[in-house]
Amino acid sequence: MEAQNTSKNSVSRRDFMKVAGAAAASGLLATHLSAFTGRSTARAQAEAEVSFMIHGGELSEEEIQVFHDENPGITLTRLDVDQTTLFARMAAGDAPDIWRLQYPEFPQLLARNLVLNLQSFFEASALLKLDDLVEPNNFYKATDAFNIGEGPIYGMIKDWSPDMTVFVNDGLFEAAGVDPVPQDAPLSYQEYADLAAQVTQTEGERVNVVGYFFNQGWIDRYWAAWLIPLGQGLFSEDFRTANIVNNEEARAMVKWHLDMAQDKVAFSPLVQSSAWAGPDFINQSVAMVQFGYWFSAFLRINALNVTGDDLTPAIESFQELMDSGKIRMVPAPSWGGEWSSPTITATAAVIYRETANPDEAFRVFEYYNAELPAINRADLGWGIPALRSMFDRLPKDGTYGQLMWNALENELPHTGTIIPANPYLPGGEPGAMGQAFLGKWEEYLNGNLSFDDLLVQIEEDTNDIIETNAFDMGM
Amino acid sequence: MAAEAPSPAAARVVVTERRYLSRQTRRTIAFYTFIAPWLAGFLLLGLGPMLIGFLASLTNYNGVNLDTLQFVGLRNYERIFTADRDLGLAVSRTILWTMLNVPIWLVASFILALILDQAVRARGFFRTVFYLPSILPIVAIVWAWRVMLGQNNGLLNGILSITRGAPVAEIWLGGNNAIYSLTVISVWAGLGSGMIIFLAGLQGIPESLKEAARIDGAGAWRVIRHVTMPLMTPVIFFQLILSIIGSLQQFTIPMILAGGQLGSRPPDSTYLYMIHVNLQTFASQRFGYGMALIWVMFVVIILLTVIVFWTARYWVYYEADIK
Repeated sequence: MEAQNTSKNSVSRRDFMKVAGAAAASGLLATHLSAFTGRSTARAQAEAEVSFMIHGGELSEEEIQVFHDENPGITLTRLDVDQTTLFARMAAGDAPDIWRLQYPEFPQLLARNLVLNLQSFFEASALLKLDDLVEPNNFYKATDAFNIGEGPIYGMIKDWSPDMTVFVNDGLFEAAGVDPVPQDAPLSYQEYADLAAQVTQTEGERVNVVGYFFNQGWIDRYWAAWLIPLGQGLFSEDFRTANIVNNEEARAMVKWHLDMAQDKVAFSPLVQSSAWAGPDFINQSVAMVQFGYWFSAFLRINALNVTGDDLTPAIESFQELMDSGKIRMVPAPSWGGEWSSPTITATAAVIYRETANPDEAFRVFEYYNAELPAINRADLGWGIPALRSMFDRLPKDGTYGQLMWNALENELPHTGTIIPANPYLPGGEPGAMGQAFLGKWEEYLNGNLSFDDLLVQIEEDTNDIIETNAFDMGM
Repeated sequence: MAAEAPSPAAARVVVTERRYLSRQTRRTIAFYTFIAPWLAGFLLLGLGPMLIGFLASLTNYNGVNLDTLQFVGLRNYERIFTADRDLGLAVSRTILWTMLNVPIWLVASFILALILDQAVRARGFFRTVFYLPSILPIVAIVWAWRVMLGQNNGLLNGILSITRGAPVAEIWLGGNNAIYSLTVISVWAGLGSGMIIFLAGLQGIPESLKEAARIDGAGAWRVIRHVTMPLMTPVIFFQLILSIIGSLQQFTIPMILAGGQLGSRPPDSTYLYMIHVNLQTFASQRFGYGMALIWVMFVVIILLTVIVFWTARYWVYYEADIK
């Protein structure tokens, strides 16, 4: 396995930050202490401990129990996903052995040498075959932090979706007298803006049906994905500067989102969701939702499969639409004509480079990605499996299941694009550029900031973070 | 059988041993023994992190850069005053929010305590009811208010639509309204805890003083104004200090109103200082800078507290002050 590379001249700084990290997470001290003593005990008993930072809904207690039954000698502990804890534990040299992340976070971790190269583990694995991995796994292949897409593999998506497909409610289209969205080829974003205006229903000041939903947390990821087919990017080639103000296409993309908000045909500071787009879609207060295939499982669980006392009139009405094929997933809209439908999350797991138990951690990794948890995820359709060999498990039953499967088959050939993430930026939802946009769009929408000034401020704020992070990381 | 008296030599030994530690020393040891658990907790989990946070504020720490960690002197503090575009908004909104929240909460909880201090039927029941929001999880409280204040399906807009005879879609949780909604939610959630402390203070006022004032012809208002209020000023002072500190540190409610996720940004109206700290620290991944922002807030809180303490001599009445 890979040699552990520890810099001797960083010992004093590391010692300092061990304390700082533990203290910054003050309340975590007890956790650290118990984790530390727990590890010592485990070693004494030759029991390997593997901690996995993942949501409870993504690794259940039952699945952990099955793992323990099948893998005596390895204790798997699930930790709640929490960036503060993750960073504090990294600083204390006690990061979780495995943790969940999305693709924009990966280059920075790779640049900091924090993730384990899994190439040799994959080559030796009987469960995870490199040639069985679907293309979105390439988000975690890299030769270095600046060159993502090819090279040794560092992580694996847990499941995935082409995140820019659109779920449409044909019932609301019919009610508005608007032709349904075509199923077999993508419309342009401008066409969607027109459709959103047509299906939005207002009554006085009140918006009863909002035309379109886009995820504000992914706003900069949309722009990055839309620019790729045009051969462009949001940043300069060396990732040191943002490229919006003088990029006509990027300007148009920002304007598209602003216009959707200004026209009150999408959720924004001017039209607020009561919760989030999921329940809004089931309650039929939004006609189109731009989410990936995983949303079909959300609708199946929270509407189609609902029975008994939980079956409200609103859900019953939505079930009728699902049964009659009027809730559909249609192709991701196109910017510039090309049908491109990549994942813009690529939610995955990576292994800590300094893990004390790399083999046991990879065993957990295998279990999570190829055995019971992966099977359960695939059976529910809670995302597309990361292994081609598991595609057959996706649900295809009934009118709704068949419709979703057909739409997915239609979409899959267009999902191979890898979006480069900026290694100088933190990979949050939203990212730095999205954060800058969302911090200013209210001012723009209220008429207190011009479009040009908005773009300048987004670019300046983003460049500021790039500059400070580049300095902070000695890059 | 009578107890056997100790010999004079043995009695001398006992006396010597007792005098080995003086009463004062023993009291001191007992004092430190009793406070040791709290003191250890404070040093480990309070003072220690604060000092290490201060050290971190002098570095370029960003969460994952241990191998390139550098001492940057006061660069992070310099940035606060020169290069932080959103800081002005955060500071101005925090001042406005504090000026709204503190007096409204103080007055409302004091009035509530005065009402529930009266000999009314079922006052125990009412005290419990008004205290209930204080024991509810803040997330549940905020989500309940989101349902009430929602723009298109909210209860309040529904009622307004009926009274006005036309659909109303006022944005209570956005735009300029957001800070007033935040105040309403915060006051409502904190009313019970404020009321309880004021009630405790009110019950410590001797009834004889009020009775004497009434015999002298004072009405209800004059009793409150000239007897109750002066005697309650130490409690008001205590509540004032805590509410100023709490308001300056407000984070949870606007964050949950904004969606509650890392990176969620509230509307400009409720973009408070601690929200800014959170976004700078975690979303922009500037841990060193975030620590610097927190230390500046700490100093501001200390200064404000000192000022309020200084003013106390002019308006806080202590019986012990009577010469």
